[in-house]
Amino acid sequence: MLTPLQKEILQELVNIAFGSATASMAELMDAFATLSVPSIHFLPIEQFNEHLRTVVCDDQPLYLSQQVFTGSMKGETIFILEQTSVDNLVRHLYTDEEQITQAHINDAVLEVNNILSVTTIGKLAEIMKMQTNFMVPTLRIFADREFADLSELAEYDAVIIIETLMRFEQEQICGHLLILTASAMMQELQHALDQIAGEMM
Amino acid sequence: MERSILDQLEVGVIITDANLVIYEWNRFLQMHTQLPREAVIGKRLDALFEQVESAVLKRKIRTTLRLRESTFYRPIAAPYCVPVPIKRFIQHDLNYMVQRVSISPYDEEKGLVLLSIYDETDSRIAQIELEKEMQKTQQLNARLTQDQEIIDTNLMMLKTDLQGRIVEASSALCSFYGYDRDTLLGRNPSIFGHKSMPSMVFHDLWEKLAKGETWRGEVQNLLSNGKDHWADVLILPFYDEQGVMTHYVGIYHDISDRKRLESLYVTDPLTKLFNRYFFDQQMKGIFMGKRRAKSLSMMLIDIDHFKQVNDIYGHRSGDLVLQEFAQTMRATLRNSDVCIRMGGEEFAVLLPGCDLIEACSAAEHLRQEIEKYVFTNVGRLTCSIGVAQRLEDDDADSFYERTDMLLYAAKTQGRNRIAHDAMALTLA
Repeated sequence: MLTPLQKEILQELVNIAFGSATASMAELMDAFATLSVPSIHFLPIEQFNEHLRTVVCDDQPLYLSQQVFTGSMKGETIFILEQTSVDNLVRHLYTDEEQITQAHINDAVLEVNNILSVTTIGKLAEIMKMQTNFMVPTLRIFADREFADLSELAEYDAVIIIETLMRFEQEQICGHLLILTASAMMQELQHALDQIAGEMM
Repeated sequence: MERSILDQLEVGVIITDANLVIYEWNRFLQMHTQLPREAVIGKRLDALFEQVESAVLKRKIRTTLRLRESTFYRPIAAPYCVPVPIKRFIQHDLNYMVQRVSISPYDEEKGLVLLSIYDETDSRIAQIELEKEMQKTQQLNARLTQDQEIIDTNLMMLKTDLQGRIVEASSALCSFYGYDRDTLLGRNPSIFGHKSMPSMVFHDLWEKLAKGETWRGEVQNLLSNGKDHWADVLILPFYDEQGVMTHYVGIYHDISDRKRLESLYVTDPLTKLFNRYFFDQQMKGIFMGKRRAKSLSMMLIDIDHFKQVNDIYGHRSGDLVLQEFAQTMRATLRNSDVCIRMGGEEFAVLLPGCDLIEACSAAEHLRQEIEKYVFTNVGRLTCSIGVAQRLEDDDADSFYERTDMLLYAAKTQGRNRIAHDAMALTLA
């Protein structure tokens, strides 16, 4: 896992990325937006499902959006929103007059995921001088916590968890952005973070 | 990007700005919409096609330009960004090409993006078909569950392992027989067994099942409260995917009412022996050829001077004599011998599996028992018996007539005796 210095640098980079994301989110929501300073954790993949169970409520449907990124930097992001946050998001995104369908709601979640993934992963790719390309995000909705049948994640062995709270005027949207990647990619990230640390000295 | 390259792509490509003004329109779209490039360049996409969700699309274009990365758009109000009518040989509900759009930065300085429009009609059709199939499966499953409930509550059914231990019992069967399911599980269906059932029946049953054949038969069973009932039982062997027999399923159908009716129909009400109708049916069955393998003998019996019994002691005493005579017959003969009251004071006995010697021995034993018996109000009586064995070329009539002749002979020779078929004895 990362050293305290590497973690500190990564935190700063994610902060910068989220600054860019905030502006995009504000534009998307057509409202003044703030994103809290994200908290970052690292997990081995074996603890991933258990972690998912701890971060979400028991009694709410869950929107889980996945987006694969490929190229020299590759992995997958998972963005999780609970129903309350989704309701808040939709309330801001669409006017009362519009006929809101499930498709509108799904599109809103996918769009937020896309913005957060692109800004965060894009920033990490930039500092690691790597190329990455984003695939079409997909969405799954789970009625309860029995969602964690994510066996397709087996090829990853490291998880970076970035939790953030977005505020749009009065409403709060709490999202969990999870970056799944292979340990080789983590080593590259550590190397890039060390280089940045060297440049700062 | 060179226009010639765009024209070679098998996806629709539009270059547009944040206000949806069209800068490029590739050949894929020209061919599918029948709108030439010249007709759309400089015009707004939402002006050309009113279905375009301009607010959503504009927002996504702005996000793309800000992020400098691709965003993705799946049209919501209609399943397409640009309406392309489709005609397919295979009927389906889709009238327009289903589209997915990727929005990529094209010229950031000019604020242009490239909309790549992918045809997802085939995958949407596949999805619709899949959903239909899933719906059908769900309906079938729901029906199956409903059917299972109906079966469970209405059909008396048992499932046993190959050793005959009960592993499942339907609610209908538990309720009918008066047992808790837990009491039945692990037990043998012989828990329902009635002592009157010949062991041969079950021997035959297991023999057939062991060969993998279906068994069907009428079985007299006992309920938990000790009452008996008749069941038509069908037992089927079941196999796993490898063809290995895994268990048996028995389906029980209560036929007690039918059996009672049948019994009334074939029973003489006074003596409770079988009646003449039953005798005729049995004879017909025997001479249909089904049961010819075994030897068969017949007795015809007449109570000597019975007319005098009625004349001297009255019909009530006469009826008592007939009843006691029938009881003596039943007590003297084997369970497998079929005793019949033919009418008046004449009786018949069918002796399956008996040759003439055995039949004569049984007849003589019966004659002696009758001779010894003291009838109520009347005292001692005797009987005459004609005994014959079925011959190879007999039919029902010849067999009966020959036995009747022998009865007549016994009577004319002085009564209280048996007369047997000497010719048949010689052949035997």
